[in-house]
Amino acid sequence: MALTFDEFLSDRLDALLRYATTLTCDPHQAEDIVQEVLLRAQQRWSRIGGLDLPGAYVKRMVTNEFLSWRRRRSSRDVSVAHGDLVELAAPGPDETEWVDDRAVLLAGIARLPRKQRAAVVLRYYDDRSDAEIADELGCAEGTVRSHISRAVDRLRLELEAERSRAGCRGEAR
Amino acid sequence: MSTDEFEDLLRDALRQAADRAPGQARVRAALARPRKRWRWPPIALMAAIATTAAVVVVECLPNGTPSGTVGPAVPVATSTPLLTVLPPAPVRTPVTNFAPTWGDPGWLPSGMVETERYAAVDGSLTRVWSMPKGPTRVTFAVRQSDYLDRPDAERKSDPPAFQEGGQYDLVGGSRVWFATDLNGQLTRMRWRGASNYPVYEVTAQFLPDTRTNMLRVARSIQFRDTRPDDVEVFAAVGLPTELSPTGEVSIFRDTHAKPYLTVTASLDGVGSERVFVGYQVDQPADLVPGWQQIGYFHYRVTNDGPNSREEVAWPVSGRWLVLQHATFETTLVGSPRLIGIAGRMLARPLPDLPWLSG
Repeated sequence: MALTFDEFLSDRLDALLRYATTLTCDPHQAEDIVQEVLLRAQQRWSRIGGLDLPGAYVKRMVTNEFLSWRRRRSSRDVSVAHGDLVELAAPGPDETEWVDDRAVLLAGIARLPRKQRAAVVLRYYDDRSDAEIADELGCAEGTVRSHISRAVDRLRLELEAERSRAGCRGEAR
Repeated sequence: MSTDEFEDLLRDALRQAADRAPGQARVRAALARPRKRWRWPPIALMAAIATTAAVVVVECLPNGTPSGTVGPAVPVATSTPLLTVLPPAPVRTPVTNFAPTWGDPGWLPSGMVETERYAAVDGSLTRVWSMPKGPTRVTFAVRQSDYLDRPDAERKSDPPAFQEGGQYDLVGGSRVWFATDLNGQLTRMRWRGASNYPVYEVTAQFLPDTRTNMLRVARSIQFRDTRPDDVEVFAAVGLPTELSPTGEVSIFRDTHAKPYLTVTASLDGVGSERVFVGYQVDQPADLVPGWQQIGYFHYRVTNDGPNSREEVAWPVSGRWLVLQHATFETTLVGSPRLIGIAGRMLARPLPDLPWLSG
């Protein structure tokens, strides 16, 4: 029996909002994107609800909406400058350092080009294979591997650079 | 750090980002709200429009030759063998309800001019002012729901990119909530509005002395007695029945300060993808390369995976209409259908709005 739209919301809305938040690195924009996608999906639920995997379909709508987010939204699509998130975290060893690393990575992810960002999120948040990511993003598997490789290289470099800077600050103290 | 360690760290960072996801309240409220942003003209008016409009469908597509400046909104010359005049199809008109003249700031930083207005199906109405040279932007929006509806605990889970502060400033007796991104590029302030539009919002980008000036803008807003729905209504673009308006109707000046109107719609029967209708002064700048001329329509396809799109552009009443179909997860609909839709669209001159002509 086809899933009703309300049943779908109960089952998937949280997951969609979490997914969109990792894509956008901005809960406000994530909310906008999910809302816009679901308004469209609601209108067409008689068709979407009858699909084998309506959740996957709507999730792909979210991905596509993120990739095609329009010019108008640029006022909300605020990039996070390198180091800003790091500055928020208290410097220190051990556990605090772990928090710093994650903050550096999140800031770096927020600056990745959208397709790279989407590929990274699909791989490391959604645990998708190259083939599945290629299908989601509408590109070749080689392109997916290239997106992820470039993104990971860049994130590693930024993390190492930040750790090096933090080390220098520690020594200075 | 090993690759495995790095990937674990990356996964952990993404989970942390996901933990900052907003709650369901606003999305559920938007989905539950009846959408009646689109005002329909009286049936008699629709009938008059339909019967006076010439409806054009391109019968023979390949190797078409231009048929002059004939547009779908005027009687079509039948001399060209490529075009056939058919009985008018039902036309429905998304009316812009474009009325946020309700609520005028009495003060804005010197030199700012109004450049954009938006109305969205979620009920929000937005006006935008920009500095002619430079990145400064100020917006004023009225919304039917937003983060003010969230419980405090939920708002505190917002990411560090949006820090709260200044909650004791008041506008019209209501406490103001500020959020600023870490670069200071964008600052929002929200406060309680009226019953129909419970949230008012002012945002600013690259505005000197941001907080002081935003408060000054907000406190200077003079609300009119009329509700937005009662203010000026006009229809500039008529859509055929297979296009359903789903998103925003926007009117703004483009980068060349030319008036531009867009409508977001979905195309019935082909899934959830988007159709954008642009009504602009200039012909698309890149109209020559990549475009195929079919009758008096120009058509092109851009293949870019899920971002593929197909477009039809054609002159109407001294302006250009651009119909763009973003394919997303489905396939192209093809030039015959898209041009068929284009041929049944109507356009009327944009209203004479002072802020559009500046």
